[in-house]
Parts: sequence; structure tokens; C-alpha cells
Amino acid sequence: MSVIDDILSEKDPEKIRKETETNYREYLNPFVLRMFKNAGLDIIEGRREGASVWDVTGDKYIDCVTGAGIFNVGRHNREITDALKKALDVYDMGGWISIIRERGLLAKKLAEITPGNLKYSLFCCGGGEAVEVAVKLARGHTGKTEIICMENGYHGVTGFALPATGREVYKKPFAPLAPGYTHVTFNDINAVKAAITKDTAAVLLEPVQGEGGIRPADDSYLSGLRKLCTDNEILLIFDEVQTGFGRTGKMFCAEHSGVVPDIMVLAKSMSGGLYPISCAVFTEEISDFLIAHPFIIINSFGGTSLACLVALATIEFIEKNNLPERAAKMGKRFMEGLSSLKITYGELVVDVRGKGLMLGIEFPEESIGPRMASLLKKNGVISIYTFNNPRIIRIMPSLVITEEEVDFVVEAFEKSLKEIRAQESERKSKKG
Amino acid sequence: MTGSAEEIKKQALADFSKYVNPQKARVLKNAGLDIIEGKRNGACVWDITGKRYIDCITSAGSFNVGRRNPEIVSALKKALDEYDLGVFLLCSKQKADLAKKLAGIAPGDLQYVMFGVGGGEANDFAIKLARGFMMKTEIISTLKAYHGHTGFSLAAIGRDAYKKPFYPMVPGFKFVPFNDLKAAKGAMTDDTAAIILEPVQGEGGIHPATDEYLQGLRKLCDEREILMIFDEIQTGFGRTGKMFACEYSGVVPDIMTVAKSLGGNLFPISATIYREELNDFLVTHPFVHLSTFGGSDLGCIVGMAVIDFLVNNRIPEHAAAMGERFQKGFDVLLKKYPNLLLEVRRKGLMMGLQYTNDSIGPRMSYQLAQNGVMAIYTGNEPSVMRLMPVLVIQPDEVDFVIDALDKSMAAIIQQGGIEKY
Ligand SMILES: Cc1ncc(COP(=O)(O)O)c(C=O)c1O
Ligand SMILES: Cc1ncc(COP(=O)(O)O)c(C=O)c1O
Repeated sequence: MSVIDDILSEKDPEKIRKETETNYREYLNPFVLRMFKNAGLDIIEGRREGASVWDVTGDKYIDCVTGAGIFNVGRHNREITDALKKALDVYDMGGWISIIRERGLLAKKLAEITPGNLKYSLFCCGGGEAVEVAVKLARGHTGKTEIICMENGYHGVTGFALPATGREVYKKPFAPLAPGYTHVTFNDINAVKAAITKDTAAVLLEPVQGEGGIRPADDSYLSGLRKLCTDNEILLIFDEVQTGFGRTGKMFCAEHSGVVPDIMVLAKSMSGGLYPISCAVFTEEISDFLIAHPFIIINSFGGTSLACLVALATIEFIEKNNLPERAAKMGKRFMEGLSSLKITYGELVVDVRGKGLMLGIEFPEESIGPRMASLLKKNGVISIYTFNNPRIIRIMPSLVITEEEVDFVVEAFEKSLKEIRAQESERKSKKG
Repeated sequence: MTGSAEEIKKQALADFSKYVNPQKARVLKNAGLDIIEGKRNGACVWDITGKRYIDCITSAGSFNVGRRNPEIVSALKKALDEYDLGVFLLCSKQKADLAKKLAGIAPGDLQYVMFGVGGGEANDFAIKLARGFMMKTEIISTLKAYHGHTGFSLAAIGRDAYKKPFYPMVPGFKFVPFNDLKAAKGAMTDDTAAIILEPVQGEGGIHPATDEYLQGLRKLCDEREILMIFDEIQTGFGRTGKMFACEYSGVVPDIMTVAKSLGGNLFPISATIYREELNDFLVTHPFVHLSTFGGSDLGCIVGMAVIDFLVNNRIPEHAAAMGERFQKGFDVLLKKYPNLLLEVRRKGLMMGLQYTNDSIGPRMSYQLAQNGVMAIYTGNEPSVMRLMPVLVIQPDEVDFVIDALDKSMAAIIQQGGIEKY
């Protein structure tokens, strides 16, 4: 029997759980497992479909984590799965330096759907890797070195992305990091102004900070940045790894403000939830640098034939089903529900914010995030706090989520908040 | 997407030039490699116009199990009936299973696994782990080394052309000549965290490390408490005639990185495998390194199918045997074309033809393409042509490649122009 038959034929959830736990302890990371357990998030995913995922035990959850926005098209999307299967009848990854027809087709499609004059694409596998490409293009094209980025930003953990990530815990043990990165306060145009020097190559930011706690940039801030960058011959880079492909209610978040960056970084949902792919999309002017140095940034797995076909199928699905519009509509429904919870549970909910289906709920203190995650799981919802800020729980479901499912999630939040309120009052009465 | 193959090819080349990179398209055309891959099978790939090539590029060792290996394709298709990428933040059975399997085939006491997507990412994590665990900063790398383009790996690349426009690099990297124990020893200081190297330098021009060098390094590293990182991204999974190249010397590194062929030519996945002791660092920093697509459910299933295929079919042994067959052909060519072919360096099916000068690499690529073989010179050393066919290559296909080399060399001799360099 082949390995896949072995895996698929094992149906005993207890056995699967025990085996997985042992293997995590012995071969992956014992501590990660403990943390998952403590947070009540020791789910081992079995079946996946639409907005839902089933633990191997058969318990169903609405997935509001979606790997921070990998599954815009839904979990295990049938149409895209079928497209990949069909592709597997003919294709493999394709040669690394070959001219890949599918890559040309996808690049053309991206030029079409990305804003303004963004045109050329360079493909990679992960989001961090694509951020690295953006930083390198900025340095290579401008001949300058400094990158201005944002406090609490998250851009990945590899060498040129890590220094841009605005949180010390990710960086400290690995110092010295690549120099030349300056961090400024998000949404503060004067902070950027003050940080600009003659050696500034680019400003890099997420149009909605994801891991930083779901913080949307103001439109006026972005248009101010655009002007500032143009005036000072600095490139503007948008990391749309989480916000891209319909998440915020537009195909790309940049469209809300109408600001066109010089380089846009895409990953996560471009994969259709099935196949790793990421890219940096940039203007013709910037591509001059790569024309002079065609093989200066290379990788083995970036933009494989299969990946490009999956991404094309993903974009087709998003367009055909108007997912950006749907995200806007469902996001509004969420907002209404959550805002009323904010009124009812004013002592527990400090803020509800977001754009489209990229939503965050802020609690008054750090312990509540993890406790909520655990209660939400009990109530059939997987949702976790953001990496850089545990006071904020993120809601980023699939964009195919239905109205009933939205209501189910809001109800789960209500139940969970109710329980936290009860816990808090019990704690107080004990103290008192 | 209809039209004749010729039309599709023309359109594809135009799209590639317009939206990906026109210069890349031009360089490939000049090397006779403006091939648009259609059908792929075993050791071969067909241009969409129908011409067959034996693939000796294989993305520098990414296709060890063969192009579109039916067992792996079928495993992935079945997996697609149930799974998607999964969520990297949660526990995954597939991840746990592959970690166990990797620990099982990795040399010595390499046991814990961190997954990534690409090879560069795996090396970035290896270097981060070394710094984090040792609480030291210096990394020794080797001249002409290739470790990938992500920041830490790029800093470890021993070729300035990849780095210069992107300065400043991550500080703390030192370079020493490869296969030179004294130089390595001289570079070690109290702040040295690790030495990173490829057991056979790939892009540097197919240079195998000697056993004595690796053994000597191991001893030095033990004495000075320095970690040893082997980048087996090209050499791993049977390429050199053993499952991992380090088995020849018996040296077990503290950290080993793998990628490329782990993905079975179907799905991106990479891994950093390390000794238990080093896990202390991750126990205190469990979420310090995150990769959205790293160790996805589908990727892990592909990885397991790849390892099963390699083990069940004794592919490393087959690679060793086919390598010997190639060698017989090379021995003849070395005698026949001494003005062209200076030396052949080889370990298993990781083979490098050292030409007498830089210009021959691109010319041979062109000729070989005419004769039905896809091959290209190495990134850091254009006078070296790399031949890295799939490991499931058959004897008659080996003979076909040798024959194509013979014809191509004859054509170049006839054209002349070798002496001018
Ligand atoms: C905004 C943003 N940029 C970059 C990344 C890094 O992507 P990856 O994990 O694929 O390297 C992430 C991942 O969460 C992200 O949210
Ligand atoms: C030895 C070695 N290390 C690392 C890498 C980088 O791997 P990737 O291209 O997947 O990032 C390569 C790729 O060619 C390689 O040959």
C-alpha cells in the first residue's frame, strides 16, 4: 500500500491524535503542541469545505483563521482542486529556468487585475520571499539602501523581510540583521516625512496591518505617502499578502484609496489554498533593473507551472463569484453583529474594526484573547489572536462564507463573551 | 488557449517577454533553450512543438524521482480529494508524519524538523537557529557557495554578483576557500556560531568536498563548539548515489537543510533538520520562525511519497550505477576532445563537465539542445556544464546523452573559435 493510502485509510481519531502528538513531541516542537493545547487549539484538521473545517474527531468549526488569509476561495475549493488535478495529468513544476507558458499567462492576468501601471511579475513561493524581492528591487532600482517600514508591521521572517517586521521578539536572537531599515509609527505621515533621508529607497507597509492587530491605513495617509514618495523619488511598496484577492472588499486593498504603489507583494490567497505561490508585481520602470540583471534573483520553486495554473483558476473563481463584493457584504453583516456586541459587552470589547472580511476585535487586556480563542472553539469557531498583539482576535473567514455562517460566528462570539463576563464577575466576587 | 503548437509557443514567448522578463527570454533563446515545456515523463520533456529532450537541468536536482512520476502524481491527486494546504498555525498530522520520516532517513541523530517552502528559506532558518542557539553571531561560508536568495542565505553565497546591488547584507559572514581545512580553522573565532557548506558545491561548479575535509571540519567544530550546517538541497535524496551526500564521509552535521527533490517535482517544500539539543532554542521561542506555506498538508504528503519511492526502489543505488555508466562515456570524451573538455567532476549523478574556457558553456548548451539534451552551465561558474538528469534515467537514455555530447563537441570543434580564449 502506498503512503497516501495508509494515511487516508486511518479513520480512528484517537489513534490519529496520539500518533500526531507523539510525532510533534519527538520530531517537531514539543512546546508548540503544549501551547496549542493550553489555548484549546489542538485541532487536527480532517475534512475541509467552504468556510468550515472538521477536526479528525468529526467536530465542525467555522474557520476564522484561514492561515491569516490563505483561503479566500474557501477551504478545499472543489473547482480549483479539480483544476489542479487536471493540470497534474499533463504538468509538473516545470523547469526552473525554462520559459513557462503558464507563468507568462499568470503574469499577464496579474498585470490586468492589479491597479494602475503595475505590470511585471517576479514569482516566488512564500510571502516573505516576495517581500525580499520588493526590497531588493527597491535597492537595485534606486541605488539607495534605506527602507522605511512600520512599527508592528509583519512581513515574514527570512533575511531581508525580517528586519522590516516591526516586532523585536522575532529579531533579537538573530542579530545582527541586515541593516538599513527604519521603523516609524503607522498611519502617521509626519513620522515618515521625518524619517526620509537622501538614502531612502522605499516605504514598505501593509494597507491594513494584519499581525499588528487589524489596523487599516487611512486613505488620506496612503495618498499622502504616494505624494511624498513621488516627490522624493522613493518607491512605495504595498504588502498585500493578507489584504489581496478580495479580502478587504476590493480585489486589492489599494483600490479603496486609489493609491497605486510601485511594487505590490502578493501571496497567501493567490495559492487558492492549495499550492504555494507568491510574487512581487512592479512597474515597467523598475523592471529595467531586472532586464539588466535577468538572473540575479532566482529560486527553484517560485511560480511553477502547477502553481501558475492554480493561481489562474483561483483568480477566475474570485472574479466569477464576485468575491470582493461578497466580502464587502458579509463584512458589513459582521460589523453590524459585532458592533452590537460592543454595546452589550462594553467592558470587554474595546474596539471592532477592519475592512471587508479582515476584522479584528480588541479586548482590554492580553489574557482575554487566548481565553476567547479557547471559548470560541467550544462554540464551533476557530479564531486566534494576532501575532504582534494578543489583545486582538482576528476574524478572517473564507470569502465564500454564507449569511447563516456569519450569524453563527457572531452568536459564538456572544456566547463566549457572556462566559468571560461570568468568569470575570466570579473572579471579582472571590477577590471581594 | 487554442491554436497550433507553433502559435501557442510564439504567444507564450511574447507574454513571457512582456510580463516576466524580455532579457531572460533572449538569453534562453541564445542558449537554444527557448523551450516551452509540454509533455513530461521520466527523464524526458517535450517542447510543445513535439521535440523531445532529455532533461539534464532538472532545476538543479529538483526532479530526482523523474518528471511527473506516476506514483507521486497519484499520491498528490488522492490527497487532493481530502486536503488543502492546511493551516500552518495548527497541528497537522501530515506534518508530524513527514517529520518522523525525515528523522528516519537523515543521518545520525538529526531528529527535529522545521518546515519551509523553498531551499533558501530552510538555510535562513538554519543560520537563525545557529545564532539563536549558540548566542554567537559569526557564520563561516565557502567561496563560490550557493545557498539561495533569501537574506541570510544570500549573505552566505560566495559570489558577489548576486549580492552587490542589494547591499548592505546581513553582517557576520566570512568566506574561506572550499576544501581547505587550514583556512576554515584560521577563520574560527570565539564568536563563530556555525560553518555552512554544501558537501558537493553545485552552482560553484560541481566540486565534491573530500572526506578528509569534512571529517577534519567535524573535529574542529567539536573542539571549538561550532555548529556544522550541511546544505544538502542539491545533493540530497539520492543525487550523489547515497540518500545524503554526507554519508560518504560518515560525517553527521548538527543541522541539515533539504528542499528541491523533497517536493517530487510537484510541490514546493523544504526542511531544516537538526539535533535534539538545538531544540532548546525553539522550546523557548516556539513561534519565532513562521512560514505560511511551509510544511503544508499537501506538501508533506508529496514529501512522504517521494521518500517511499526513493527507498522502495533503491534509487540512490540506481543513481550510483547510472553515474558509473556516464563516467565510461566521459572517459572516452576526455580523450577525444582534450582541447574542449578539461576534466569531469562527479559524485553519483551530480556531474560537472569542466570545459577549457567560459565561452564553451553557452555554445555547448546550444548544441546539446539541437541534439535533444537540455543542459546548462552552473550559475557561479560558466565554464562548467552541469549534468543532473533525473535519477530514474535508464541506460539507453544515458547513452543517448553521451552520444549527444559527442556530436555537440564535434560540431564545436568544427566551428572552431575555442583557441581565441
Ligand atoms: C502581511 C504579510 N506579509 C508577509 C507575510 C509572510 O508570508 P509567508 O509566511 O508566506 O512568508 C505574512 C504572513 O503572515 C503577512 O501577513
Ligand atoms: C545548494 C543549494 N542551496 C540552496 C538553494 C536554494 O533553494 P531555493 O531555490 O529553493 O530557494 C539551492 C538552489 O539552487 C541550492 O542549489
